[in-house]
Amino acid sequence: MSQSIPIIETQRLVLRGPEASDYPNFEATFSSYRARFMGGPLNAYESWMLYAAEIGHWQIHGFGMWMIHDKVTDETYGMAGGWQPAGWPEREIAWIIWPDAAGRGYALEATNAARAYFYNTLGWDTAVSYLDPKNLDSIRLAERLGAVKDHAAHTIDGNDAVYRHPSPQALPGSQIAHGIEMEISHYADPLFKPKGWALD
Amino acid sequence: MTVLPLPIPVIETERLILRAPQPGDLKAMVAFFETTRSHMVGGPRDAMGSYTSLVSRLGHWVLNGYGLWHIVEKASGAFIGWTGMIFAPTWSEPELGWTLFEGAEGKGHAFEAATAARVYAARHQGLNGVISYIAPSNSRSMALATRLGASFERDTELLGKPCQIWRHPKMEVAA
Repeated sequence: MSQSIPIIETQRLVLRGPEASDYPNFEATFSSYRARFMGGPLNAYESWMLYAAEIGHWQIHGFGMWMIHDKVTDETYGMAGGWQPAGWPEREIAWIIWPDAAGRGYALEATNAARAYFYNTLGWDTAVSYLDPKNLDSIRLAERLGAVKDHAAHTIDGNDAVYRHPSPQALPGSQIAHGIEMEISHYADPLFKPKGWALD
Repeated sequence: MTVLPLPIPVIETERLILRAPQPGDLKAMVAFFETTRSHMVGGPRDAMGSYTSLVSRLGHWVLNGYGLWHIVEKASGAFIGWTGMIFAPTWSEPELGWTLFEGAEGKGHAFEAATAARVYAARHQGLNGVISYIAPSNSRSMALATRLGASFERDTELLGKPCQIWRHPKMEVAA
């Protein structure tokens, strides 16, 4: 039951499977207030077990969460990918960005690439993101990705909002797809200075 | 590709097979973790907790290079519990653990499985003379630890609960 995790490269990032050496950054985030919408903050044991579960998820489901690395420096910025633990009505596209790495568009770039992989390589025909209604940063990101609140979809436990991503057919060549591309290229531009609210 | 350092080895004993945790084991884990029987091994847990426990066991193998096997009774093909090495934050050192579901006890299966896991750990995982954490009220596990040749070392705490550390004898490992 060995499972290989594909590597995805984007303009600024490399997505790889979670490894033991990446764990300290994960723990720092999951033991912080930043993790409040992801079931945290967690203690040292819970955090490690969740990290182990992220890896085990790949083994069981054949997809999972990638660790987001900087292409040049290799430092990690967070995680993005797919997630469907027991009790999840549908496959979810999920993300978490370390607090220090927020506001540089990494979550958008990583999540967009992960979604393309799920659609084009794994053949997913739809995907959702389960978001805490108070998690405004993530709701903003879901909307930048073109996801729309799906009032008819099953929630996890009634405390989450379901955002449905554009379908694989609707995405190519769409205004949303161009917008994502343009936004990523802005963030990748060293002279670009984001104004206003910091976006993941 | 990030290739995970698996597969998890399979161990065969006289009456048992120790193999990797599998998705199909979840139902039995949920049933077990809902019972008070799970109190001495981190339970109770809800369905999500059982799921996390199952998948994290695979990640545990990846991160540590060792972990828990799920035990299958050869005669019936039933998944009856787990054994193997556990190491996570707040553990003082890697631990040999075991759990049998109700109904699988009383046949020496836990002894057979834990013995096989302990031998494997000493020979292939560099873990020899290991400990077992045992809840103070878990007299059955203490009896098994004693049968395995382990002895009480000290009282401690694990995950906020009082716990005993038992030490297994160091085994001869052929070079």
